Amino acid sequence: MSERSLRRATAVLALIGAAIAGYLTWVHYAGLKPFCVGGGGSCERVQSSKWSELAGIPVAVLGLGGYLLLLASLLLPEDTGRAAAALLALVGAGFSAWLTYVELAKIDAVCQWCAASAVIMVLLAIVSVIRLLRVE
Amino acid sequence: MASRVEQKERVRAERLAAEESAHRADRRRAQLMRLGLIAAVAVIVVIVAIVASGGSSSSSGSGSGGSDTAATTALFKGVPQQGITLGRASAPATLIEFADLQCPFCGEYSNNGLATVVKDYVRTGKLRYQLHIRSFLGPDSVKAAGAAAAATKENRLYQFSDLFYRRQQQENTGYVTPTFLRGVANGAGVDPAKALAGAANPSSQPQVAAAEKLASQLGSNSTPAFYLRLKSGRLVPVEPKALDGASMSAAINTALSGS
Repeated sequence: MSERSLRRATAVLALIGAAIAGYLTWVHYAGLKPFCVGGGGSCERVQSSKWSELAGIPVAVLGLGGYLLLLASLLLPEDTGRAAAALLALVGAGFSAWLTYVELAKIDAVCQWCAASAVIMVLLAIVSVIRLLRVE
Repeated sequence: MASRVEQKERVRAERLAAEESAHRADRRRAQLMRLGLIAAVAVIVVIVAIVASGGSSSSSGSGSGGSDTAATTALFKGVPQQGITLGRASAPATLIEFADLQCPFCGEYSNNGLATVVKDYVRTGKLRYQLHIRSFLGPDSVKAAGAAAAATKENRLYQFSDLFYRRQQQENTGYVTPTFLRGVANGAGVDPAKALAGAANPSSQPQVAAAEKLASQLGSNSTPAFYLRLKSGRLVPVEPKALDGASMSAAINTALSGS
């Protein structure tokens, strides 16, 4: 897979992730219920849990920031950009894994938006690591 | 037979290939080291983030989780609840509490003393409990009381108030947000939309004004305040020396013995 394809994959995934995180950020500040496929209120339960904020900042906002930074990393010089993308994506994937564990083990509810974001972050981590390890 | 020039070319090509291979190996090694470093930094950042988000603790922090919800559910499981009343209608006396959901002492009592009262007096049918949620500490109290009134209509006042106290924060810091109330309502099994509607329009909830009126009639001007209504109808103040279970039990027994 070429560097160009990997960069494109990063951009597409980060844009989808930013859209999801952006939606959850909007829902948070507008005081709305997140749309949950099939109803049940799981998304709302997760979004109103104590784990929905980190140091007073909504996790959705942190996610949005992370995805936007991943997009910005594509504008950096090649080596710096690859390293920054890998760091951001690995942190994002690790924290997403923790939040997924919290949803399953503590909140006892799974937010579909959060799960989708977690999958995207893991894919971004894979793509970013491949980019980092590519030998020209 | 290869000429001398061809031999030199071949040796040169082999040397270049070996150099290229060594260079690629060096680069691969450097990249792996860089990945290792980045992964190590990422692990540290994630651990810090997990700790900052409350980690795996089950403390009664600011938000909502599973453990405090489970504790609240267990506390009232199987105890009859109707409006502001908890316990059997046949109980010979009624313990009346005035509380403000923002009041830290009310939170202290709820977290340290209420379980004993429920277990030893309400579950056993010795007392029934009436909780009057007041709203005099500030705007957050008013919102909280409005939401609690909505929970009362669903006969979930005790779950709502108990969970609220488990997540109580510094009073009048504006923490009683729709997100906070939704979390408490969800954990307490209360319709979040109704709780938010109650919080948005507390004056529409007669229970909010009724609690203030009764407190005023009894001359109760602080929270938590406790009274025991005896079978005879007489009202006796209950004055615990501290807000833990043992002190509360002692105060209740003293009040009961006065009957």
